[in-house]
Amino acid sequence: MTGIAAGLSALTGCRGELAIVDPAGPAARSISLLWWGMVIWFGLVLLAVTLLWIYSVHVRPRSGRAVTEPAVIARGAPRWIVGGGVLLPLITVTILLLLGLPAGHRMAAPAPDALVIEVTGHQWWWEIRYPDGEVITANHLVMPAGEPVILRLTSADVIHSFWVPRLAGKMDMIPGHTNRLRLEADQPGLYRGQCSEFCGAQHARMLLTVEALPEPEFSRWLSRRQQFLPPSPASKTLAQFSTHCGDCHRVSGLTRGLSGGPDLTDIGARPTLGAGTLTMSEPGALLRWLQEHRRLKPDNRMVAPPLPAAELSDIAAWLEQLVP
Amino acid sequence: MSARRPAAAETPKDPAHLRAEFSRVWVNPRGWRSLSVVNHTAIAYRFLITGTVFFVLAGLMAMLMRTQLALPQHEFVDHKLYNQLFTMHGTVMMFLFAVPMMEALAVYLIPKMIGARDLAYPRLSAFGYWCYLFGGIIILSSLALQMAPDSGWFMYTPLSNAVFSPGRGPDVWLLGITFVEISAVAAGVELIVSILCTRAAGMSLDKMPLFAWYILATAGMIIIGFPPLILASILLELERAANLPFFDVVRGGDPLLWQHLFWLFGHPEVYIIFLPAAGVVSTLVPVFAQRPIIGYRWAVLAVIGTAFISFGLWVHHMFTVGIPQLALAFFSAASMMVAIPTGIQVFVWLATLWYGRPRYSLPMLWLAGFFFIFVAGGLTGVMLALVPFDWQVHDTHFVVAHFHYVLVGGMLFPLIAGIYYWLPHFSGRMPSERVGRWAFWLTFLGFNGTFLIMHWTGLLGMPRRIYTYEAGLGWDLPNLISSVSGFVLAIGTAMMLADIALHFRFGRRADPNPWQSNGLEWVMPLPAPPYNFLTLPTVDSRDPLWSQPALAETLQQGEQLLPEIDHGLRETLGSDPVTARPRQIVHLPTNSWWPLAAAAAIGALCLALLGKVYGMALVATVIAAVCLLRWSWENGAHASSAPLAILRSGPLPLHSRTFDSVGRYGMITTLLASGALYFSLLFAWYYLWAIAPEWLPPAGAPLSWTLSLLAGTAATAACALHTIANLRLRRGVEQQLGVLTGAAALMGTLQLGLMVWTLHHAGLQPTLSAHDALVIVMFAFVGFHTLVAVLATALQCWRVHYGYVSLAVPYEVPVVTPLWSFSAACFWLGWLSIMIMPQVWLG
Amino acid sequence: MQMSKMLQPTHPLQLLAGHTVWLLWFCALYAGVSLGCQWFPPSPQQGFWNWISATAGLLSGAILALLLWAAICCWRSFRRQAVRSAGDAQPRPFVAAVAAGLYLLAALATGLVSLTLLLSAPCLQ
Repeated sequence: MTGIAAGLSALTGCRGELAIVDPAGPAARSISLLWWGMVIWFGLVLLAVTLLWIYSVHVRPRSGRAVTEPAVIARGAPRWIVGGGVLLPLITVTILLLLGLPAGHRMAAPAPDALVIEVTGHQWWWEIRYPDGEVITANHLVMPAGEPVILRLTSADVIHSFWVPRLAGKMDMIPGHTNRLRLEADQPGLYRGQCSEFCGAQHARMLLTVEALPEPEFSRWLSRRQQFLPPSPASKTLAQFSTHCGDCHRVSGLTRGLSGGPDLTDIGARPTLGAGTLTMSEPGALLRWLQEHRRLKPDNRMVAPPLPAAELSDIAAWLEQLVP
Repeated sequence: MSARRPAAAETPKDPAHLRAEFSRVWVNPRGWRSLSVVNHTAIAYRFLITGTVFFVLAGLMAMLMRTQLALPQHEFVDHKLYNQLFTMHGTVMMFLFAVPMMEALAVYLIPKMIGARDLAYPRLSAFGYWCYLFGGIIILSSLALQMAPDSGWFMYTPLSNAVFSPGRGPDVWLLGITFVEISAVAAGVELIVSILCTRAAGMSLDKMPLFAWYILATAGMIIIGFPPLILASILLELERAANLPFFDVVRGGDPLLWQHLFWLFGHPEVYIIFLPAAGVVSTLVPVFAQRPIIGYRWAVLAVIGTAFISFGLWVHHMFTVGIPQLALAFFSAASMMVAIPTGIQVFVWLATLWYGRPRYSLPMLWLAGFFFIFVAGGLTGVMLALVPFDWQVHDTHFVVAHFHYVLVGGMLFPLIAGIYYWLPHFSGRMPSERVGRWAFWLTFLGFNGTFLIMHWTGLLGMPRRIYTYEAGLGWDLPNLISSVSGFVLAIGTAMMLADIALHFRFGRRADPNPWQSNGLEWVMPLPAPPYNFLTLPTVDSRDPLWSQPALAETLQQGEQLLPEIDHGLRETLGSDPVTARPRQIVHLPTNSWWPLAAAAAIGALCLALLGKVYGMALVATVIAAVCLLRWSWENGAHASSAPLAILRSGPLPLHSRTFDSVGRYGMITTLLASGALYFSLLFAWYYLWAIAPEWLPPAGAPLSWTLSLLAGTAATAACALHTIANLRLRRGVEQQLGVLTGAAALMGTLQLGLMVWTLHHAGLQPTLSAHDALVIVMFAFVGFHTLVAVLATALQCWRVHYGYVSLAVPYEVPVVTPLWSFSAACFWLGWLSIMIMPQVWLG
Repeated sequence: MQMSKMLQPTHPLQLLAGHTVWLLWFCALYAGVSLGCQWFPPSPQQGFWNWISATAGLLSGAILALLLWAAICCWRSFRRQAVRSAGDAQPRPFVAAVAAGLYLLAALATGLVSLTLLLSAPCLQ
C-alpha cells in the first residue's frame, strides 16, 4: 500500500528520483519546458482532429448538410488538405526546430574551464576517474553543484548509456569512442542515474548515484580523497583479500586490481553496493553482498570468493572502514 | 491492340462450360497435394493464418512481460527469460507478423483489384510462404529450447557478438530472420512487377486503386530497405561464426556500423508496416463515406513522398550515440518533415468523410480507433524527432508507448478493419455485429489503458528492457495499471479472433458486393474463385463498380477479355505499365513442388549453419541450387509451361515470345534489391575507412593490379558476349546464339577463377583486419552474382540446344543480360573502391 | 528509354526524380558534414560562419532552386494539358500534377533541413 500511495503522490506531484519532469539542472529544465509546450499543443491538435472525425462521421450526416456539388468540393477540399495536411505540420515543425535546436545547442555548449571526469561503462557498473589519475571510484559520482562538468564517456565492453534524468539528457558509452556530456546540477543534492542502453543480463541493476556538493566543499572532498590512504587490515585479512579479490579490485596503496573490477578505495562512503543492488545504510550490507551477490545480481561478473563466513566478515568489516 | 472478343459469326462460349474449364485448369488440389499450390488466394490464406498464430504467440510473450513488470522486484520470470521474451516479442511482431500480414493482404487483393487472375510469379509466392513458415518455426523453436536471442530485437553489437552472447540465440535470429526476409523481398519483387505489368485494360496509372499505389510504394521500400539488414545480418553472422571483425573496434571495425545498417533498414521498415495499413484506410473510407475519395492525387503524392523521405530518417534512432550537432539537426528536421505527407493523408480521409455520407459499420469502428491511436502516436513521434527531448526519453518507456501507438494504431487496427471488410470475400459470410463491437471496445480501451499511461512511466524515468525495478520511484502504480489493462487488451483481442473464427460457421450469408463498394475485387462471386475473373474487365474509371454497375454480369457471361481456356494454360493479361494497354498474354505456371523443395533445402541449410555442420550445409546448398535451376528450367517453351505447339489465336503474343516480358521486369527489380545490398556494403567500406577508430589499411595495394584487372576484363568480356547475344536476337539474328551464351558462361567461369586466384595471391587476413574482411565480402558478392549468371547462362545455352530459347521464344535472353551488366558494374565499383580510392585517400 | 523522353514532365519517372535528388543531396550533406568535421573541423568560435556550413548552404540552395524549377515546369505542363484534354483518359495531366507536388514537397524538405544550418554549429558533439 505504501508503494501505491507513494506512486500516487509521485504521479500527481510530478516528482521522482529519476523523473524527467522533475528537473534539477538547466538542461533537464529546458527539456521539461519543451515537453510541456509540445504536449499542450499536440494535445489540442489531437483533440481537434478527433472531434473532426467524430463530427464528420456521426453528427454531420444527420444534420442534413451533406454537400455534393463538385464545384464546392473542388474549392473546399484543397483547403482542408493544404491547410491541415501541409501548413499545420509545416508551421508546427518549423517552430519546434527554431525553439528546440538552439536549446540542444546550449546543452552541449563547450565549457572550457569545467572539470572533466572520465566515466567508463562496464557490465554492470560505472568506473569514474578524476583528472589526476589517482582518484578512481565506482557507481558514485561526486561533482560540484551550480557549475557544468564535462563527462568523457566510453565503454570497456558493450554499449551502455549514461543518464541522470533530473540533470540532463543521456549519452551513449561506446567502446572505441569517447563521447562528451555536459552535466550541471542547480543545487547540491543526491541524484540518481540509470544505464539506459540494454547491456545484457543485469542492465536493470546498473544504477548510479550522483552527489552534487557546493564548490568549496567539493574541492575539499577532492583533496581529501586525493590524500586518502586506506588503512591496512590485519595481515591475514589483507593476504586473503589480495589473493581472492586483489586481482580485480584496486584499493589504493594495497592492491593493484589490474583485471578491471570496481575500485574499492572509498567503498565505505558509497550509498549503494552492486550499482544499486543494496544500500550501504542497511546494517551488514557489505557482508550480505559478499555472501549473496550471485543471488542478488545473478550472472554478475564477480567471482564468489571461496572463503568461510568468518573471514568474509573480517573483509567486510575492513571495507566498511574505507571512508575518506 | 485488344484481346480477342468472340466474333459475331462464332458461337459464343457457354458461360457454364467456361466456368467448369477455368475451375479445372485453376484447381487448387486438396490433401497432401495442396503443398504444391501456387495460386495467390490460397497462399494469402496461408500467410494470414500463419501470421495470426505468430501474433498470438508474440502476444502471449507480452502478457508474460507485463505480468513480470506489474510489481516492483517481482520474480515471476527471471532476467534470462525476460530478456529473451522482449527480444522475441519484438522480433516476432515485426518480422513474423506485421510485414507478412500486410503482404498477405496485398497478395490476396492486388490481382483482384487490378483485374488480374494471379500474381506474376505464382511459384515465387509459394516459395515466399514456405520460407516464411520455415524461418518462423526455426526462430520460435529457439524460445521453446530456451536458447532464444536475448540482446533485443535490434541486436546491437558488441552485445550480440560471440564474446558477449556466446550462445546460439543471436545466430538463430541472424539466420532465421534472413530466411524470412527472402520471403519479404520475393513478395516485394512480385508485387511491383504484377502492379506494373498485369493491370486490367484501361487501368492507367491514374485509375489504379489507391491500395495498389500504397503497395507499389511499399514493395519498392521493401526491395531497397531490407537489403541493408540482410547485409548486416550476414556480416554479424560472419563475425560470430568465422571471426571476421566488422564491428570489433580493435581489429578495425566499429559497433556503430551495425546501428547504421540496422536503422537504414529499421526506419523504412516501420513505414513498410504502416503504408499498407494506410492503404486499407484509403480503400475503406470512400466505401463507407459513399463517395469517391477526395484528393486521389494528393494521396499518391503523400505515399510516394513518405516512401522516399522515410529513407532519410534513420539516424533519429541514434540521437544519443555522439554524432555532431548539425548532423543531428538534419535528421531532426527530416524526421519532422514526414509529418507533412502523413498529414496530407489524414486530411484526405477527413475531407472524404466531411463531403461524403458516412455510415456506420464494424470496419468503420475499427477505423475510428485507428485514427485516434495513430494520430496520437504520430504526434509523439514528432516530439521524439526533436533532438533535446529525445535525449531524455530515448530508451525509456515513452518510446515504447510511442511505437505501440503507431504500430498497433497504425497497423493492427486498420488490419482488423480490413479483415472484417473483406471477410465476406474470404468466406462468403458477413461478420457479426454485437460481438465485434464488444471486441473493439475492449481492445481499444485495453490498449489505451496499457500504453497511454506508459508515456508518463517513461517521463518518470523508467528505461526500456529492464526486467525489474525498485519500489518507490513512482513507477509502481503506472506499471500496475499498464499490466491490468494489458489483460483487458488481451481479452479484447481474443474476442476479436474468436469472432472472426466463429463467423465462418455462424455468419449470415453475404449478398454480392455487400458493402456496395467501388472496388473491382467485389465483382466476383463470393467466396472468390481461384481464377478471380472469368473474363478480364476493361476499366474506365477509378471506381469501376460505381461507374459500370453491370460489370459483374458481363464478366460472368464471358463477354470481356481473355476468355480462352481450352489450351489448358493459366493466363492473365500483360499490359503497358503506364497506359495499361494490353500488349501480351502472361502465361502462368500451374501447381508445382519446386517452391516447397527449394524452401526446404534452404531451411536445411539454415539449420546446418546453426548447428555448424558445414558438410550438410554444402549439400543443402547444392540441393537448393538444383531445385531452383530445375524450377527455372520449367519455363517458357518447356512442355510443362507454354510449349511452342500450343495453338493460340488473337493478336497478343505470349509473354515468353516477346523481348519485354514480366521476367525482365522481375530481374531488374531484383537487381535493384541486390544493388541496395551492394550499396550498403560500399557504405560499410567507406564508413569504416572514415570513422573506424582503429582502421588498419594495408601499406600498399591490397590486391595484385594485374590479376584484378584480368578478372575485370573477363567480367566485362562475359557481359559483352551476353549483350551481343541479346542485341543480335533483337535484330532477328538467331545464329550462334548457343555459342555466344556458352562463351559468356565460360568467360564468367574464367572470371571466377581469376577472382579466386587474385584473392589467394593477395594473402589477406580477414580474421585480423576489418579491411581484409570487407574485401573478401565484396569479392564474395560479385562472385555470387557472377556464379548465378554463369549457371543461368549455361542453362540458357543448353536450352538453346533443346529449342526452348530461340528467336521464337527469345524472352529469357533479355532477362539474363542485366544480371551480367550488374555483375560487371559491381566488379568495377568494388575494384575502384578497393584499389583506387585508398590511393587517393592516403595521398 | 531515351533520355529526352524521360525528362518530359509527363514521364512517370518524374514522380521519382524529385525525391531521389533530395535523398542523394541529403546523404551527401550528412556525409560531407561528418567527414568535414572529422578532418578539417572549423574552430567553435566561428559559430555558424564556417566553411562547412557555407558549402552545405550553397549546395542546398542550388538543389532547392533546381527542385522549385522542376516543380514549376511540371505545373505549367499540367495546366497546359488540363486545358487541352478535359475528359481525355490519358494519364499525362496526372503525372505532371503529382510530379509538381512531389518536387515541391522535396523542395520543402530541402528547405527545412537546410534551415538547420542556421541553428547549429556543425561539429559540436
